[in-house]
Amino acid sequence: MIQKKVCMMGYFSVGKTSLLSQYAHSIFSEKYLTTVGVKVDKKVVTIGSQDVTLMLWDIEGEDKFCKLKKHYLRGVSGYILVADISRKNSLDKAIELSDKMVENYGNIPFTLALNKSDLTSQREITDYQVKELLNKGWDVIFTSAKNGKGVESVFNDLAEKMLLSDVG
Amino acid sequence: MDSVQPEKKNHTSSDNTQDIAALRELIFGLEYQQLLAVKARVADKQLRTIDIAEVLPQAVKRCADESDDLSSELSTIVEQAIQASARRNPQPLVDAIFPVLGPAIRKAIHAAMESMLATINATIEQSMSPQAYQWRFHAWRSGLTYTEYVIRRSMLYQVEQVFLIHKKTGVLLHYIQSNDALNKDPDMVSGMLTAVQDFMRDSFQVEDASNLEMLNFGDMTVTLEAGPKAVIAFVIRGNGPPSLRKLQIETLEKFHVDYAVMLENFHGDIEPYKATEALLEACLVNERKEHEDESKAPTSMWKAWLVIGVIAASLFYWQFTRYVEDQHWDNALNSLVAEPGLIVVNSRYVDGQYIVTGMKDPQAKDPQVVIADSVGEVGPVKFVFTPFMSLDPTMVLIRARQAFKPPASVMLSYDAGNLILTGTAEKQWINTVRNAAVNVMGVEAIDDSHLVIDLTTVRSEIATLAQIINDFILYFKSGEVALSHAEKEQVAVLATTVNEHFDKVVLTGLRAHYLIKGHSDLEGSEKVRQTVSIDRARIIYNQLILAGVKEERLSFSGVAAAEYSEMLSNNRRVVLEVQLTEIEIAGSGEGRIQ
Repeated sequence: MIQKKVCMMGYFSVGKTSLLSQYAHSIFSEKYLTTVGVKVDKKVVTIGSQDVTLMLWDIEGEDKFCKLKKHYLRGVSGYILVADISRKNSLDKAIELSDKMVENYGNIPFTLALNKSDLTSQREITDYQVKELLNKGWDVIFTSAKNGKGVESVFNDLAEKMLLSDVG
Repeated sequence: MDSVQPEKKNHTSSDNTQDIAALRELIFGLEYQQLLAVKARVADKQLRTIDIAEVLPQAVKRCADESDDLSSELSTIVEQAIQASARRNPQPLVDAIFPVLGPAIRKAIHAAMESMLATINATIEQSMSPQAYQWRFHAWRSGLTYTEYVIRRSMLYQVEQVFLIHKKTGVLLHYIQSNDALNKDPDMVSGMLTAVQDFMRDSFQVEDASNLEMLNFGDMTVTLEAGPKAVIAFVIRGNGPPSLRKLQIETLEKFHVDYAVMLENFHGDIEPYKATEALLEACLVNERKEHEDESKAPTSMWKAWLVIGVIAASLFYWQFTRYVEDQHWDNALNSLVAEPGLIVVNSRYVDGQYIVTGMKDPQAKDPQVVIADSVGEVGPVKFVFTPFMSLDPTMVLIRARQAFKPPASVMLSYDAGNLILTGTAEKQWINTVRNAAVNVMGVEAIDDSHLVIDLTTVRSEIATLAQIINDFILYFKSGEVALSHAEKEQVAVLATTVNEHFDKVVLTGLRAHYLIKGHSDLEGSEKVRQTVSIDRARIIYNQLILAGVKEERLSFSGVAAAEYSEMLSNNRRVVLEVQLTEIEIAGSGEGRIQ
């Protein structure tokens, strides 16, 4: 059994908690987020024949300065960057966060979830921007906490990358 | 490669050596020179030291990575070196450990103080409670002082869960719990425990090396001990002793020693840490269980026998008191049944009180009083009695006594409808009884044949009345026979006295007759005087009849004045004379005359 500490990262109100509350196992209420500032959930994914338990640390939304909460990030094995396709600045913040993560923790695996993909009419993030990220080697997955689209893929993709990272 | 040749061939040998050297130069050239340089370097101790120093750190690291052999070998040497150093000059060693010694001592004292305070607090809290008195009793029974017992009780605890957490990631390396412990998801709890520690550091800006050591919630305590790579958390129910902290530290230290390499290269694989099961299981200590086991069997048996004994005694007591109460009530009920004028139809015990139904004569005794007089107190009783007239002789006699109010000299008895009067009584009372007898329920006839009539009072009254009659004198003026209005009034009063006298005389068995005597003075002829005296007697006679005296009880006569020598004026008068005669008493109800 492999267990990995994974942090959910992204600008406020991009849907991090929604992704977890519907697709991960939780025993703690959301009030932990506003009190302790973090809530730990669990998601077990299977990569090949290997079960990987993702201990998902849902950290209260980063502020506009994108200051990392380093205490909570200590020992992180990978992270899910979440951005809202209807808010362009949420992607900018995600990129900024990623840069800071690289700066502080090196190149650890991550996956970008472009959430609220069901809000197509309000989409602000263009295909061009997405293509640019893909060209940089990012894994980008459109997700919707509302209809579940792409959510499982995000967890699987990240788990796979973390396992590969261990081997490498 | 150097060779030694014989002396005699010294010249030739020298030539050969040179040749060989030339040959070597030709064959190996530069390499040979290098070889010579290496040889010289190896032979030079100083140079060799420099070379080894250059590679030593890498060599040690590689050895440590590959196996624990070097660590084992070095540990012995290091221990010996430290001991030798300490013996030779302890000061450098003291200086070296000084920075860590202070915090370590403070931490140990803090842990001990915290535990002691918890124990004292628990003791104080318990000292005034009902449980404290219970504990005092148990302490006395078990031969311990109260303090010893309280401390023993206060120290009861159970380590219910043990978390072994990777310090950096918060990943749960291994987890065990006692059978009765509850935990929703240890993985997530482990994560949150780590998060809470991070939260504390973040919130209060404490040093990274500091750790959250204890969480208290009700009787649940979570103690955390952090090592360089891992954190061990005990979830303790109750008040754990200081020795638990020692166990926690020792377990963590042993874990770090055994898994040092593995922890260094941790990438999330928790499988190897299942081997810590035995190590962690040793932490699931439970003092309470040991104490309970010591005395479980005898205590439970003693208690069981005590409970059985108490129940049996209670049952016996209950049965006995029920029997006594039943007997008591039966006696009370019997007294009601035996009481004249009361008829008990039913008796039952409902909602803590007796209910007695039946019938009650209005003259019967109060049933409450009957019971109180016969058996005393019986508890609450409700009487539901319907009124009725009892023909019980006692009740008939009570009714008769109430109706007739007999004098003390008369005894009443009753037999089959007959009211029997015995003793002495006045005639008047006897007559009253005879007239009223029919009004008393149960009295069909009165037998007064055994009753003696008491005439003492009557005779005295007759004498008084006779005196009044005998003293009656009515004077007339000369030649007059008529009565004035006032005189008629006097005669009317006399008539009442006469009738009363007559009636009372009858009670004595005699008959009274009243002779009215008229008198005249000496004036006129004897015939005239006779006529006047008779006329005067007659006028009184008539007046008495008019006033209600029966004619046959009266007679009159005239007396000539010649028979008198008194003053003339006193001769013109009328007087009465009472005459008594025996009569034969008629009727069965008449009593004997005394």
